Amino acid sequence: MRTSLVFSQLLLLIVLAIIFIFPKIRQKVSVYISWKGNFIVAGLYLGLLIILVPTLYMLPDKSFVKLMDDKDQAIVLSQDAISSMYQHLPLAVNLDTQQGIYRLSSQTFKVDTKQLSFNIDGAINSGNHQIFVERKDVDDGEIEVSTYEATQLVGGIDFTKLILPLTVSYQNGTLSFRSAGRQTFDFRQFNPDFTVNQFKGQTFWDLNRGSSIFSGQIIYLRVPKSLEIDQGKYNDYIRMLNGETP
Amino acid sequence: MSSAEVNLLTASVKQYHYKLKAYTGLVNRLIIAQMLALVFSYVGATGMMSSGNDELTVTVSTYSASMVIVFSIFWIITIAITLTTKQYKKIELPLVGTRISGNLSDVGFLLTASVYAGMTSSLFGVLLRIIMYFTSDSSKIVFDEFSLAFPDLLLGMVVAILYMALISAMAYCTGVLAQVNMAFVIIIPVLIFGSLKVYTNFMQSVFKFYVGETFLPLFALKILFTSLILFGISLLLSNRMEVNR
Repeated sequence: MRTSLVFSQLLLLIVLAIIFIFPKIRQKVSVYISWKGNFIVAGLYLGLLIILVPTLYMLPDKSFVKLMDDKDQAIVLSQDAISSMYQHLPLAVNLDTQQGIYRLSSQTFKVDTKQLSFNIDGAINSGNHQIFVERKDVDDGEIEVSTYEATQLVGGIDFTKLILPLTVSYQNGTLSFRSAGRQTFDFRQFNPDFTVNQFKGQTFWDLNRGSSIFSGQIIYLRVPKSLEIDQGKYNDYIRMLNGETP
Repeated sequence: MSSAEVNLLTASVKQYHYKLKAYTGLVNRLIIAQMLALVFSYVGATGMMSSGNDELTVTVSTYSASMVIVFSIFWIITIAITLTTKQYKKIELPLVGTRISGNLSDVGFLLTASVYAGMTSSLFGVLLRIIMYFTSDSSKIVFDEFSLAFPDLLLGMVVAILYMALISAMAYCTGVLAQVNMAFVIIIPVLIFGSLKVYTNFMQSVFKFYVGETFLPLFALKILFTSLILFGISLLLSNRMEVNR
């Protein structure tokens, strides 16, 4: 909104300058500039633009965003891992090494009660996120909470690692999840000029590399063997692994 | 080579050099046009894609120097038409030559202008990238296509030059036609827009003949052949005008 306002103001300014100022400047300046002067200006202009070419290739490599090379495989693998979790199966793979799934955060809480209940922020209750609970083989008195994110793509840009994890806290036997708030990402991408596109056979969709893929965060809990789980009103969001029903 | 041919060539080259000096001021207009296009390309972006859900909003703004090329095309159109006007034809008067040598020197000047405008407009893609590098957070810039491949830059330049040559030939021919009869000023746009409405498929085929060509040598051949025909028609028409007068 702000950009469009600045853009329209700039446009108005430029149009006014073209109509009223430039012709007057040209009239006055052209008297003093000979063809040699114009020739030098034209040569300098071209020379400056040519010098920019090696400059571009010498720019230090910064932390640019890179488009995914094998996005299809990453998507399939991450979807497979998520779907096996939904089928209440024990995890066949380690989520930390699973391609297409990123760990966003990891925390451990000491348990001081025999029962675990949940408190989930209203913003999370949109069905985007899922909580998977797995029992450990021992009663070690600790809850391990890890948040993961499956591949998030827009126009071939993988922005998964930039997403902020949910805020997790534990108090008096209640595990609370708070949303990190609305996140906005603004990426800048260059497209080849139409003169190049014509010979590379690229279309708009090739350039933007298809559709967008969004998914919610996966919260993976590892709880002590005998800890009682109270799902409360969050039945739809909490799933027990190993086929267990709370 | 006969002496008449040598004279024609010598006169054309002399007039070409003379015009190159006389019209150097026109480059300033190109620089202004390209700077304007750069501002529009940078501030407005050439495309935008936005996606999101309840918690995320992702916007991808796309940039290219295509607008600079388009603005340069407009510049070459105005130059080509201007060269056919009586005011500009008066510049040839101090030099010895014929209408043909005058037109040949115009063609030479337009081709030089096409090379200059094609090169500079394609190089603006580099300038746009450098400006973006220093003014934007690099973690928001997509590396692919930012790292402009050198062969792509050269390809862009060659194609831009060819397009400018073709369009300047079209504009020059239109200008000469307008000099033959002012009615063409109305007839030509009516013919073009009328054909676009009535003979949609035909006009699309004409458009695809150039824009749909993906093999560079064939594309270059099509452009050069068409430009040659258009400049040839302009020369013939202009020569006939001289005979009539």
